[in-house]
Amino acid sequence: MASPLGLLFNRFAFAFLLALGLTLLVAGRSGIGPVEQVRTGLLDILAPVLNVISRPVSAVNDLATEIEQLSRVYDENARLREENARLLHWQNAARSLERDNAQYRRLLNVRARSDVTYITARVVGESGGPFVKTLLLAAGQRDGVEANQAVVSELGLVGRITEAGRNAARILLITDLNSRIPVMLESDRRRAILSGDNSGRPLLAFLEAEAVVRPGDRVVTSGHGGLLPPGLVVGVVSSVADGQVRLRPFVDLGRLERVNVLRYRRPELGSERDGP
Amino acid sequence: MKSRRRKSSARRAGDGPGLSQLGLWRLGMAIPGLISVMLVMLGSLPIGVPFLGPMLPAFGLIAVHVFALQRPDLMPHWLAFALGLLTDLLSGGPLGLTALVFLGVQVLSASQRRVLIGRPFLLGWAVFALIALAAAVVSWLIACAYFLDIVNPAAALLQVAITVTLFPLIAAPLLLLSHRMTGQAYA
Repeated sequence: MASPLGLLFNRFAFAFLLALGLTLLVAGRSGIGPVEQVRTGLLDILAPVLNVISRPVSAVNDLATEIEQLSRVYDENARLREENARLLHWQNAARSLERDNAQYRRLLNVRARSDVTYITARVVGESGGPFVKTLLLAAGQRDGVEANQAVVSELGLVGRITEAGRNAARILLITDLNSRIPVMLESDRRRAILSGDNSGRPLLAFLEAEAVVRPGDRVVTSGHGGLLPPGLVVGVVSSVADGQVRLRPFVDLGRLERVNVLRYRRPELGSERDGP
Repeated sequence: MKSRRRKSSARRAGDGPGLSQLGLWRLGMAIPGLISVMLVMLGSLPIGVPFLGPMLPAFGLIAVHVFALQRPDLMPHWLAFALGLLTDLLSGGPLGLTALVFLGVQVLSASQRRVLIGRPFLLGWAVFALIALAAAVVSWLIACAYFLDIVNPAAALLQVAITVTLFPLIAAPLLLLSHRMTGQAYA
C-alpha cells in the first residue's frame, strides 16, 4: 500500500479525479458534451431503485400523519362543518358564475381554452442538498411527461419539469435559485416574475412600479411565454419590505408525495382558424 | 501489523477449498462502499423532517469521513468521488460539485488518522464539525462560481448544523462496523 509505486498511483488518481470533477462542472455549466444526456440516462437507472426504497418511507410518513390527525379529529370535524357550510355557499356562487360565463362565451364566440390533462405521479426523491430545490418523479416520457410541463398539487403550483428520462423526471421547484415563473396578481392582473432564491419564500421580481401589493394578495401564473397554462394558483404575498415582495407558496413543498404533471398544449399561433 | 494479519488471512482463505471464503472476504471489503451508497440514497428520500422541512443531514459526508478515517484502504479517492457524483445526480445540483467536495473530505479525513486514532470520541466529533464546515464553505464557493451569483449560504450552514448534531447517531454504527472489520478499537 505504502510502496512508492502505490503512492505514485494514488497521487495520479487524485489529480485525475480532481481534473475530472472540474471538467464535469465546466461542461455541465456551459452545456458542452453529453453531460445532460448521461445525467438523464443515469436518472432512469436510479429512479426505479428509489421508487422501491421510498415506499416504506412514505408508509411511515402516512402513518405519522394519521396518528397526528387522530389526536385532532374532534376539532377538525367542527372546523370542517363550518368550512363545508361556507363552501356550499361558494359552490352556489360558482355554479351561477359558470352559467353566466358559458353564456358570455357563446355570445362572444370565444375559442375554447386549450385542453389540460394531467398525469399523477409519485415523488420518489428530493434534493437533500442546500443549493438546489428539486424533486424526483417516478414517471417519465413513457407516461407522457416532458420537459417544461407544469407540476401542481391539489393546492397549487409546485414547479416545472426540467429533465425527463424514460421512466423518471426531475421537477425544479418554484423556490429553486434557477426557477423563473411568469405570474400576475390575481386581483389587478399586474405581471411579475416569480424568482426563487432557495429560500422558502420566492421573490416577486419585475413587478410594475405602480403596482400596489399587500400581504395576502393572491398570485397566479400568467401564462406568458406559453410554457405554463395561465391561472394556476401559486401562493399569497407574504411580505412587502424594502422593495422586496415575497410570496408564500400554497403548497408545502417539503411534504409532497404525489403530484400532477399538466399536459398543456399551448395555443398555437394562427390556430384561430380551427376555433369554433 | 494489522495489514499483515489481513493479508495472511486472505492467503489462507485462497488456499484450496477456501475459495468461497475468499469470495466472502472480498464481499466484506465492499461493505463500506455499499453502506455509503445506501446512505447517500437515504439522504435523497422524500422524508419530511419535522421543523426542518426538506433538509436532511449529509449522510454521504459522514460515511466518507468515517470510512476514510477508519479504513482508508476501503474508502479510496475514486469511491469518495463516485459517492459525490451519485449525490449530485440525485440532487440535480451541479454535476461534480459534491464529487470534488467528497474527494477533499476523503483526503482531509484520512490525514487526521494519526491525530484521531485512539482519542476520545468527542475530539473526533469536533474534528468532524470542522471538516463539515470546511466542506460547506468550499461547496458554497463552488456553487457561487457555478451559478454566477451569491447563493444564500443559510441552507448550507443549516445542513452543517444538522449533520454535525446527528453525527454520533449515524457514525456510531459505522464505527462499530469498521471496528468489527479490523477487530481493533480505534477512536
